[in-house]
Amino acid sequence: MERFRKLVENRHDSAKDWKAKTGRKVLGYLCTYLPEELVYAAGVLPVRLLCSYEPEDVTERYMYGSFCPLSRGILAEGLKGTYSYLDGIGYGEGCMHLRHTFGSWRLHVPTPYNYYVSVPSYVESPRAKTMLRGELVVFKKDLEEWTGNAITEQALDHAIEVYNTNRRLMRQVYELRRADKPPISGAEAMEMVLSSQTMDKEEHNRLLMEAIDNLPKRKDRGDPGVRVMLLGSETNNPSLLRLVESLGATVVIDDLCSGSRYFWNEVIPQEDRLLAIACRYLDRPRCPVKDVRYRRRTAHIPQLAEDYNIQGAVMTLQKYCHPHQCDCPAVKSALSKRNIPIHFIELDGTIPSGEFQARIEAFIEMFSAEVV
Amino acid sequence: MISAGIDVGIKTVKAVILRDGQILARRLALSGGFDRARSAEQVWGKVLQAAGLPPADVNRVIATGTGKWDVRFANDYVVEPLADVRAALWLFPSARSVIDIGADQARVVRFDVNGRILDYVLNQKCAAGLGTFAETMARTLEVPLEKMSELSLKSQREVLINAQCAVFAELDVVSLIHNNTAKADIARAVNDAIATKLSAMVGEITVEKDVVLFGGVASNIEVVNSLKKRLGVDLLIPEKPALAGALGAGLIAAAG
Amino acid sequence: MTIPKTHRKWRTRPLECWQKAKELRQRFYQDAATAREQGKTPVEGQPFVNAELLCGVGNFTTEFWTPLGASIAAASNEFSRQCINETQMRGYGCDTCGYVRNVWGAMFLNLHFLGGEFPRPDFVLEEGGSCDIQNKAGQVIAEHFGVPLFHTDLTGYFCPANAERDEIREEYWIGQTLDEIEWLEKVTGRKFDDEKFSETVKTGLRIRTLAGEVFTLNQNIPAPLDQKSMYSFFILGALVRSEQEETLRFWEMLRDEVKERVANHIAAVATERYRWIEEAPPPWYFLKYYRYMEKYGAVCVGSPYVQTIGCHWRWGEDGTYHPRENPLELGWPLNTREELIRAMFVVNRGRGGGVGRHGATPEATAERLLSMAKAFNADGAILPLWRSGIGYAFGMREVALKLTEAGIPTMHYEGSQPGDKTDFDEAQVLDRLDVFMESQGLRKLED
Repeated sequence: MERFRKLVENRHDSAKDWKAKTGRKVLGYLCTYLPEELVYAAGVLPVRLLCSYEPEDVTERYMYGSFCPLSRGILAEGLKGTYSYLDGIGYGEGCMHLRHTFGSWRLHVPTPYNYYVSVPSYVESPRAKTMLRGELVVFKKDLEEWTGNAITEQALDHAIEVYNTNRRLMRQVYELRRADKPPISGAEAMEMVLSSQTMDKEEHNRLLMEAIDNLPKRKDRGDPGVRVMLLGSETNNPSLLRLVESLGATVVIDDLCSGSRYFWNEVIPQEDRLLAIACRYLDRPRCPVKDVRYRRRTAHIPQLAEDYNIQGAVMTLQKYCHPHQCDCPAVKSALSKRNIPIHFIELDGTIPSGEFQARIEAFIEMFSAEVV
Repeated sequence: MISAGIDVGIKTVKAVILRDGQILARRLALSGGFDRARSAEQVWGKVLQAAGLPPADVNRVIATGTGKWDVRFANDYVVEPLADVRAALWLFPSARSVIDIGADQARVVRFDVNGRILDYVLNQKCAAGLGTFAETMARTLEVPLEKMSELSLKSQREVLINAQCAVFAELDVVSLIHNNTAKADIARAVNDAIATKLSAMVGEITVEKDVVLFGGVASNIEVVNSLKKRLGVDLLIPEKPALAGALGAGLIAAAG
Repeated sequence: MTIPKTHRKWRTRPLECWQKAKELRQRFYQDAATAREQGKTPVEGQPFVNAELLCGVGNFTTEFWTPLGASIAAASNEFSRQCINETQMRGYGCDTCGYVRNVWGAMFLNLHFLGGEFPRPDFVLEEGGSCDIQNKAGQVIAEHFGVPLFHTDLTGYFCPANAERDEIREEYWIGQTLDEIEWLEKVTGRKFDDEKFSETVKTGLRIRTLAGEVFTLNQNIPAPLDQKSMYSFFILGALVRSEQEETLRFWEMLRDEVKERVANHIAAVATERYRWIEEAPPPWYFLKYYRYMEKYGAVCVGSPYVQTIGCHWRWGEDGTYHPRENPLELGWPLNTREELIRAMFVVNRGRGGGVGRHGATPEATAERLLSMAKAFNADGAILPLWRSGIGYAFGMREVALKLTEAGIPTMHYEGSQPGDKTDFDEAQVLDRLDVFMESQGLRKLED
C-alpha cells in the first residue's frame, strides 16, 4: 500500500520516467470525462492533472477568484512549470471551472497540443450516444495526426482491455471494503485510484494484482469505527481522508471522481469501438453536471450506502463548486430517507486543519453516543 | 504658493502642507471611523499649527482617500491612484509603478514618465491582503500591529494558511492557536498570506520598474520582504509611506 | 485618445416607443401570471433557442428564468432577498446562480413578483448549454410541481473551429428538437401545427434582424440609444409569445424611430463625449450606474450581451457592424421541420448565453469586444466580475487583459450576480467609476 502512496507523491516522476523509457508523448487531462482509451490507443500516456494544495499567487491574473480552488490550483501548477513534461492537454467537457482552467492553460502554458472533447450533459438523451461517438471520430483523427500513429482496431481493443482490467481490479478492491473490517483505509483506496490516473494502466494493473494477492496476509486493521462515505467535488487529497480516519472512522466508500466514479463501469465491447467507448462515458456514475434530467445520483448514492453499510456521509465541497451546491438538498434528502446523516464541509484549496477536524470529530462523536 | 493634501482613510487621516514644492509639515492621526469629518478637521488644525500658518494662507487644498468627501474645507478632490502617481514620481522620478496598501483599499498603478496612468488594479472585495485584515489578525494573536513583523522574524517553522479569503484565513489562524502553534509561526503565516494575496493582485497587471510601495502595510518589513521575493523586484519605500497619498494630493493642489 | 475639454450639447428627446415596449414587457409577465385564466398553457423554462416550437401546440405563456430572475431583482430588492433566503434555507449553496435562486425561491414561496401565486406550469422545457446551473434549474422546478420536463442539450468545444464538429452539434440539436415536437404533442395532447410553427419561426427571424439593425445604428455619434434602454428593448427579442406579430410591429416602429434619430443627430445623452461598452448583464438592481457615468458625459453604447438576448448581427469587412442577413433573406429553403429548426438554431443559439457559453473562448470574446470598441468608437470597457454568475465571470479576466493590451482602458466591478444584490457595494462601485474616469483624465461635468 505504501507503494501507491509513493506513486501519488512522486506522480510526476512516473510520467517522466515513462516518457524517457518509451520516447512517447504524455497528455494531461482535466476531467475524467475525457475518453482515455482513445489516447492510450494512440500510444500516448494520459495522466490526470492534479493540484498541490498550496497557496498560490499566479492565477489571479487570468481567473477570477470565484472559480474553484481546484481549478485555479491546477492552472497554478501549469503556470509554475510543474507540468512542463507534458506534450499535450485534453479536456472532456465537465464543469465551467475546469473549462476555464483549460482555456487559460491553452493561452498561458506552452504545452504544444490541446484538445477539447464535447461531452453531452444530458447523458441519457437518446441522441447523446451518436453525438459523442461523432466527437470521438474527430478526436481520433486529431490524435492520429498529432502522433503520426494510426489508431487501429487492435490498439483500441488493447486499450479497452487494459482499462477494463483496471476497472475490474479496482472494483475487486472496493468489494473488499464492504467487509466488517475493511482491509484497506479510504486514504489508501484513493491513492490506488490516483496512482492509476497518473501512470501507465498496464503497469498499474500488475501492481493492483500483487496488492490484491497480498491483502489477505495483511495484519488486522482493528475496529474500523464509524463507517463513512465520502462524496462531493473533485478532490485529490488523500490527507483529507487520513485526517477523517484518524478520528475514529473509516471511509469505506466514496462517490468521487478520484474514487469510485472513475472506474465503476466498464466499456461493454461492441463492434463499433468508438460507440462502445462513448456509451461507457455516458453511463458512468454521474457528476452533478451530467445529472441534469433523471437524478441518477440520488439512486446511486443510497445504493452505495446500503451496499457498504455506511453510518454517515461527509460531503466535501470545493468553495464555489456550484454544481454540487445545487445537488446538496437532493442528496441529503435521499440519504435522510435511510436515516443516514450527512455533513457538509467546504474546502478552500489548502489542506484542511483544525477547524475541519473539530467538525468531523463532532460528527463522528454523534455515532458513538448512539452506540452507548 | 502654499498647497495642502489631505487623505482620509478608514483608519487614519493624513495631511501634508507644501510651500513651492517643499514639505512644510505633515501629520497623521486615527480617523475614528464614524467620525471622520471631525478627525479631518482636527488633523488639519494640527498640520496648520505645525506649519505655523493660518488656514487662509493655504491657496488650495485637495482631498483624497475613500473618505475624501468628508473633507468639507477641500477646494477639490482627486481619486487615489492619481495622488499615488504624483507622489511616486515626485519622490522617485524613476518610478513607473506604484503599489499602495491601505487599511481598506489596495491598488497597483502603472504610469508613464508624465504621470499618465497606463493601467491600474484595485483590490477585490475580499479583505485578505488589506491593512484591516492585518489588524484583525494582530488582534486575534494579541500582538500590537506594529510588532507583527518583529514577531514573525522569530518563526522557526513554515505554516501555510489560506491566502484567498479573509474569513477562511481567520479560521485557519484560530485552529493554529487551538493546536498550540507558536505565535511567531502564526505571525509569519499571516504575513505570508498577506504577501501572497498582494502579489496575486499585483500580478493582475504588468508592473514596470521602478516599483514604489506606499501605505501603512509598507511598515511591516516581513510582508515587504515576502512581497519582494514573490514579485522578484525591489520595492522603493519612502520615509513615510502612509503619508504618500496626502503628499500626492498636495502636489496636485500645487499644480492648480 | 484626446478628451475634449469642452463638450457640445447634443439635441435629445425621449423615445416614443418607450411606452409601447413597457406595455409589451408588462403584458408578457402578466400573461404568464394569469395564463390559466386566459386559457393559455403556462410553460416554465429556458427555451431560448426553441421557444417558437411552442406556437405549434397552441397558445402558451412562458417564464424564462434568466429574465424572470432579473425581473425579480429589478422589481423589488426585498422580494428578491426573500426568494434568495428561501432557496438557501432549503440547502442550495450561495454560489448557485442568483437568477436561479430568485426563481426557485419565488416558486418555493409560491409568489409571483407581480402579485398572486407563482404560476404552476403544465411542463418545463430546459435547454442546457449556456451554463452549468441553468442546465440544472429545470430539474428542480419540474420536481417541485411534479410536471414533465424536456431537456435539450447543447455541447461545445474550444477553437479551432471545425466544420465537422459543428455539423455534429447541429445534427444533435435538430434530432433532439424533432424528439421535442413529438414529446410536446404527447404532453399537450395536441397535434403539432407545422404551418403556425413556420410562420412564427419566420416572424422570429425578422425580429432578430430588425433588432440587429437597431443595435448597429448605435455605432453613430451621438448614440441614438443608451445601453439601459437597449436592454429594455432587446429583451423583447428574446421573449417569445404566442402573439409574435405584435412584437414584430414594435420592432419596425423602433427601427424607424432610431433611424430618424440618427438622421437628425438626436442623442440618447445630450452630453455624450466618452463612449464605453460592456459585456455580461449589469446589476439589474443598480441601473443608475449608467446615469452616474453620464455625469462624466460617458455613454454606454453597446454590449455584445444584447446579441445573446435578442439580436443578430455580423461584422463587416470594413470593420463596422451590420445586421446579419437571416435565413429568409439568404434564401435558405424553409419548408420542412428540419429546415426551420436549423434556421432557428443558427439564428437563436446565441440567445440567452453569457461569456461562458460553450465554445465562446475568452479570445473570441475579447476579439468581439475589441472589434466592437472600434466600430462603436468606444473609449473604454467595463466588465463586471459576477461571483455566482459563473457563466458571466467566465474568461472575464482574460478578456480584460486582452483589451488592456490593445489599449482599451478596462475596469471591473464585483458583485454576487446581476440578480442578487446581497453584497453589492454601491458606494464602492461609484468610487471605482470615479477612479476609472479620472484616471483617464475626465472630471464630472458641471450641470
